[in-house]
Amino acid sequence: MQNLISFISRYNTLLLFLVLQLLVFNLISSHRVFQNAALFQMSAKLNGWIYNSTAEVNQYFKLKQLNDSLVNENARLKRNIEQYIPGKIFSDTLEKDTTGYYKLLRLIPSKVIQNSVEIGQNNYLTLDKGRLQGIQEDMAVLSESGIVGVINGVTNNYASVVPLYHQGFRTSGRIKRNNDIGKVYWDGNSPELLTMSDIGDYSDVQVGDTITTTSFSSIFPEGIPIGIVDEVGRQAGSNYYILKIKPITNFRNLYYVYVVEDVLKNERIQLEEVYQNNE
Amino acid sequence: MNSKLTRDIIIGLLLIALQVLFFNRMIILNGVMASVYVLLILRLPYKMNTSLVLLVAGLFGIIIDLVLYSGGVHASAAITMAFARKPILRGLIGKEADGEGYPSIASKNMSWFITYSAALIAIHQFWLFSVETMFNTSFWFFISRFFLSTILSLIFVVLLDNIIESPKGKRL
Repeated sequence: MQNLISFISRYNTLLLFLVLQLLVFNLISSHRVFQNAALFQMSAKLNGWIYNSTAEVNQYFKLKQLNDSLVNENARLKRNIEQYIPGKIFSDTLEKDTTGYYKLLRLIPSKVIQNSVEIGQNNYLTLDKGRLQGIQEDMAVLSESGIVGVINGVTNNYASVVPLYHQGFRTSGRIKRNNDIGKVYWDGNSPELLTMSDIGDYSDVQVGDTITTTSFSSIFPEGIPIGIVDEVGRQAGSNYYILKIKPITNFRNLYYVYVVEDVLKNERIQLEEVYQNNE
Repeated sequence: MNSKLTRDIIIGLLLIALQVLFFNRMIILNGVMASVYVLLILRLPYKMNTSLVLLVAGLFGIIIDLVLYSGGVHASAAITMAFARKPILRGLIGKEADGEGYPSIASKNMSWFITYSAALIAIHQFWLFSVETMFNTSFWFFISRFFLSTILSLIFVVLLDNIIESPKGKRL
């Protein structure tokens, strides 16, 4: 025992180093995308505080771009409301969707206060609305033109979004023209392109086709544009195409997004749990 | 003495603010970023206890990780860099590594400082990107189990050997 104690005190720096690294590695392991890891919550709060302290300066430099994008969006909305809303699913009255469920979706507009699209692999957006304004985890986030991502963390006044440019992001997509369905994700390499897989080579997909969300996603409403096919490729020896998709949303100029609130979702989940549990 | 310490602390805070507000947004070439907060660790006094250096470096790393949403990779890299500081200083300037003062361009010359910084920064960045890559692939699953199994086995092997036969005479 004496030997052990003297050993520990002789190598105390090395042991401290190993213990610290173990702690930090533990921290990194638990820093997953869709969890309420403590470090993540702290990050969100810290980033919110930093934003508030530097908001005046940052916003002033972006005023002209912000103004332009708002004017454009206004003009388009005024001109053609029907065309923007696919299938009339955003309304204040109940409508049935293709799965037979009543859907009532509301849009919560919010401002993007931090956009880290450039940084390596861990890209996140921060929004200026949070739990107190009705935002919850796993809500879909859309831009004026297409999908942006998913809410993965909320504090009282801020929300964190996992955008398309994140290695943890996956969704199912449908080629609008011929209804073929595949998986859409980001391969981490190309900064401007998403990847779509699982489209068989019997498909007549072409460059320029639009990819939209499907009803298989529990997060995104159906029919929202994801992107446009930029390149059709094929892995050697495979029967599947690999498509490169250029997202519809311009992430570099993203200032306003809409968070989708499925008003009846909780009620539906409760119903299914109580009455359909034994199936 | 006291005013020098407060001056150092203020400069330290300014440096961290600079990193967080400016250098964190300056990303080029798909993921290349400058980590200037390492200057704080580079300039720590020679006499400072290595354990304290480890903790301070870990603290700086965690702060950067909080802002970057990176989960601890900078803390890990900073701790490794802090651990390598003493051996490298001993290798570069020998006896002075335990003396007064701290490493800087002013107290030595430019070329020495570049050598010292390059060595430690290289270690820091190498560790940073290794850990980041490791956690993003299934390599982490393999290496974490290998590592922890090794440690666990080692602990019990040492304990058992100590129980079986103490150097002062047979026990079992």
